Amino acid sequence: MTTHDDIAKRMQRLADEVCPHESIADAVVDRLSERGNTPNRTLPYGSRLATWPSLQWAPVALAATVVFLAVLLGPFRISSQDGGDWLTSTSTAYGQVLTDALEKAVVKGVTFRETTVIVMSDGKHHTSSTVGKQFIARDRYRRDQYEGERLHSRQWYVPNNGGMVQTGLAYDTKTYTVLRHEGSFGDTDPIARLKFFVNLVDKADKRLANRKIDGVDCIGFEISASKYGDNPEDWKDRIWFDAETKLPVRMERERPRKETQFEAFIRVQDDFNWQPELPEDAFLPKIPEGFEQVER
Amino acid sequence: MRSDKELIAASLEQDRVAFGGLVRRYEKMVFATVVSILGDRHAAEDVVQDTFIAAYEHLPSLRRSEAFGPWLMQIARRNALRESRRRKRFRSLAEDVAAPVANGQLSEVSRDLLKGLNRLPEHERVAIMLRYFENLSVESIASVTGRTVGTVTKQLSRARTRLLNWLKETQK
Repeated sequence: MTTHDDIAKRMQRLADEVCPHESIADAVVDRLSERGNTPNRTLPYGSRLATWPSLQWAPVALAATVVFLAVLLGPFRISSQDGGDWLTSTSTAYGQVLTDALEKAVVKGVTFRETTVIVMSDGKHHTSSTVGKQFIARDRYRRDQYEGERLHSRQWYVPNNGGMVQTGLAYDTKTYTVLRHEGSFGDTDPIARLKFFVNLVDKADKRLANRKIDGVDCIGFEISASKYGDNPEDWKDRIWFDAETKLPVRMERERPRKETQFEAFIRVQDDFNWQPELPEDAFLPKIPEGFEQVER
Repeated sequence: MRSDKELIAASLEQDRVAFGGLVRRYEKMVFATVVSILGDRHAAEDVVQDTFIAAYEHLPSLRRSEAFGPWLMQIARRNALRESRRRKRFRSLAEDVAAPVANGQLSEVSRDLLKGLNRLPEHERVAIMLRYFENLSVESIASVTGRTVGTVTKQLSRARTRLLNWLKETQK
């Protein structure tokens, strides 16, 4: 080790060894969005959400959500599956379906799965061993995080005295945290994440080929992430809707990482269940015996 | 490429996507800073996210946009130290005997280099990490940090020299 060139090489190796190959930017932005954080509101470090993806149903937000979704999802219409005119300026097809479902209380909750797919340089796809599972109710939600089959952590978010109490279990350390958030989650209405994603359809670059996902006929769209931020052109987002119910079935965010040994990372949300049979205690925080409370 | 100043200004207007641009620009640097304290990549991930969340919330307190990188690293270091203290309380024997790679821990060479990076003056550290962790050109570093090309060139050269000297010292 005698030259500046050696330092350069070592630094590059260090970056490869130390840093994750997948950007956390989306996760951070998601967390900021779900929490409704603003740069003008100084919060203690411990009073923010600890998880990035969520759908969360606040009672007060329900009506607003219905209106919001109608507006948000309204301008789109999927034509028959012949690939014809799929985008118009007047249809409220998607939004109306979800609005109706909410008003009739057909949709009482949502569950879905989150995974990361790694596209290797040989084109093979590998799904990450970390799997998130979301359980969403009208005014509360729960997120379970698995490492393979092993439950790694669980978070509950439950309303309490005008605020929200976040209870988190960490199974590795046998510890738990309890945090109180004042007020609701601000602009994190029940469909906060879907909101953003579905809104992208308005700017879609192309309609994807019809596809059957888990036995469901789906209609999909793709958009370059450069259309909504300072992102490279080749970052792609995709969303597939159930052609019949017009509810989202699968969402993907693909992020090529050509400077690494991987071609791309794709964050996937799928396995949506819009009418899940949730046990009554699904949103009741339970601390296992022997777990120690820690501050965060 | 948008400068830090532009992205910060947009972030202050609650443009979270713009803040995402800052995250992408600095995440590796923050990650390395946190890992250098925790010595464990897996443990670092949450701390890195928390660092950016805190940075977003406290962005109005940043006086000069060109100081964003060093300011961010101060937050990262503080969060990492807090996490380190917390982890020490709960570290189990099983964790101690786990294989370093499986446990997300670093090689000795990497730890030495990280220690060297931590000894650099803040602006030199930001410059060299943007150069090699984010693969930015000297011109791009100058552009995003609001400094001149000449200043960045000097900072990089000094940083490399300091790192060389540090590594020679550790190898004795």
